[in-house]
Amino acid sequence: MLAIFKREFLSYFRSPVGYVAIALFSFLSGFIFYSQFSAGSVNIATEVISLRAFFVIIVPIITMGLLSEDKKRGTDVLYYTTPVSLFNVVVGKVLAAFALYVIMFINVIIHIIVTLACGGDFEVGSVGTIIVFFFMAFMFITIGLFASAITDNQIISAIVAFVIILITQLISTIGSYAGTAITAVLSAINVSSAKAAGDGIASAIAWFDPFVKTQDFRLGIFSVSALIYLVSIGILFLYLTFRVLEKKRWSQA
Amino acid sequence: MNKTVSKVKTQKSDERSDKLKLYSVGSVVILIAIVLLVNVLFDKILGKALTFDFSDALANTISQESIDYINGLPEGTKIQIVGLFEKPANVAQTEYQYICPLLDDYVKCSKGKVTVEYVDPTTQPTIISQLDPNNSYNLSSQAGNFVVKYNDKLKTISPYDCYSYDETYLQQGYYYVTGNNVEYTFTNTMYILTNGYSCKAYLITGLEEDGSNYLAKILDSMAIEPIGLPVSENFVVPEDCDLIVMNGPQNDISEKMYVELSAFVKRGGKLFIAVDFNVINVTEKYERLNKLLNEMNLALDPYLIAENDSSYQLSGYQLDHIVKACEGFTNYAEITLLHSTNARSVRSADIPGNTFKTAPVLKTSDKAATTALDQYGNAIESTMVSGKEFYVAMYSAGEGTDPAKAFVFGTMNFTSDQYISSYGISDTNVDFFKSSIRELVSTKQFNTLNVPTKNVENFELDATKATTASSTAVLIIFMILIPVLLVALAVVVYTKRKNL
Repeated sequence: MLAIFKREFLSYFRSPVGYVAIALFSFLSGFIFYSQFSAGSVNIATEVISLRAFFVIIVPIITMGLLSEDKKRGTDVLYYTTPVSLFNVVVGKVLAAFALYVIMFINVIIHIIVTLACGGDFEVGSVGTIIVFFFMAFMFITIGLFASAITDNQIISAIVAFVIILITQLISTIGSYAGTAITAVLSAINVSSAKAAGDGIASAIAWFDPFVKTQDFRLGIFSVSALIYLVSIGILFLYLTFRVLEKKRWSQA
Repeated sequence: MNKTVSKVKTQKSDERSDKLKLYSVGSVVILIAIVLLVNVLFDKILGKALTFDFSDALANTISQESIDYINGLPEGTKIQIVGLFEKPANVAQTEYQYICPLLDDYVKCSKGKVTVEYVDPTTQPTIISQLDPNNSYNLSSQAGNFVVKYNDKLKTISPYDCYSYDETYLQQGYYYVTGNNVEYTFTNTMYILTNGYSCKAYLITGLEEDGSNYLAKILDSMAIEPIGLPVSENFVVPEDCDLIVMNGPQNDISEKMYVELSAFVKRGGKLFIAVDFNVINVTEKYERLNKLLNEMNLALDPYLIAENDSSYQLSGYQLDHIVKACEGFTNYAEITLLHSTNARSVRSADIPGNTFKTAPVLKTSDKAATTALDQYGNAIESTMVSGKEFYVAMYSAGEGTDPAKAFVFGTMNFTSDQYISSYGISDTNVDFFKSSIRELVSTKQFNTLNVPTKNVENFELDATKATTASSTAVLIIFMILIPVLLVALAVVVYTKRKNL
């Protein structure tokens, strides 16, 4: 696993991908930090939460080539022929992408240092948002890895990851629209509890929204169940990726 | 023969492939089910127990004071809190940021005695008639606010009521939050609903007095109903009045008011008066008010107190200083050193009567000075008296079973909106004021809950460090220099490796 991790992590810096991803993250975090700094008030939690919105762009960039590139070159055959378990391959690649996120996050750490040096505050809500940031990064990276496993085209992989992450980010809005639509349909056929049904559907869909589940962290309220949700979805996508690779092993056999 | 063997092999391979496919799909389905089950279990059953409030000042957790009050309510008590709005999906950075999580904690700790729901009256208008069938409270105009209901009684709370604001910014139209009074407001409201008011305080208005919003809030939290009593030609002290409060009148009272208040005092009325020395009342002698106070053996001087003892001065200012609680009043607040600004001296009347006994409440050091000021605010040298101890507040009480009583404060630091908004409802001066009120209406049943107010987060940078120059440096380094360097590195790497 360590060898896979090392290879994948270094490969980010042997190609422009790692630098571009970090540059993009630096620019975005720098912009948010500067906006607050110039106004004389810096809340690191706000910065970190704003950065979560850019998962949809950054994650596909760093995960698109993780498995699809190997497939395209045909080097994925090594997964099946070398004495390394597929599980180790998958986890090693996720850890490499995650490590890149940690490197990116150095920007925010510098911002925290500057904030404290300028007499600002770094309170527990910010710590909460940072914890959520990394748990979410893990979850979205596993989604990106899964997207990379189902195709040998990096662009398609990036698009699939982008779409899944975008849906995840808009899940409450989608739920709200679905609820309204169901209410309208049931009302049209004179169902008495149309509003309740619509609201129920909207709530049920919104229950899956990781952003809603973790929103109270910024207020200093730490919820273990929210973190378990992020980890479990991550594990689910890891397993899906594992199954996709396994399928190829058996289909080749 | 070979064909048959090949066919059998293919058949076996297909069967194995089908089994693996089934295993693959089955395991994924089972994992999804496990993930769902685990999350539902943690969210719905263990969610509350596994949620921890690590915020500064435990802003999202109710204090033991509130928990004890709720636990003390009889079994079967139902207090209904209804937010008349659709709860935002994300309350952060809304006016409900400190309210909704705290209300959740009320529900968590109340074992069913307190319920919270959010109903938007625009989508469910029936909620108005459900809460207020007789339309006594005009709830249709309360959208965005909270309704707290107990039996048939209800009170409304605006999110605005739940915070303290900097008065200087407020006067310019900006709401700069300085304190979080959410728990203070909700718990005290519940207390008033379940226990009722113990007495009525009339706050005289119309003498260009200072704002009394916080004073009213504090009285309300003590189960004293605050009611405005405007100055008019037909000024009358209502029969049900237990306490008269004059909070920073800039003008003297009228003759009619003097007569009415004098009669109120003679029948055992209670007075609380606070008047400081400021640019507006610099030439006001308060002759009729002094006439009233003289009847209680008290007098307000037209002199400004300057503290010459540097150990009493705050930040080196003579007019902003410490005052000490005098004997008999030392237990009114946790500490006996209190904060006074622009104080005028209060003393015993020149010709004291026998009916009232007076006592000093707050005093300066014995190195203080007083002086009269001219209309431009300049000290009149000839009136200066220095090297003496002066009183900033005094108490007077008559004789008998329920005698007239009065507190006269020569500073507004105990009651003004300006002071309380800056120092908070839990400030020592406010505690001292509350004890004074308890002394005045001592026979009444008070709300003894002492719900603490909470701090709000402050993310402001040090203005001397976060200058325009440092702001520009942040812009250049974080938005230009670092990203450009990284892109340059990316180009270098790409150029070097493109032919490999």
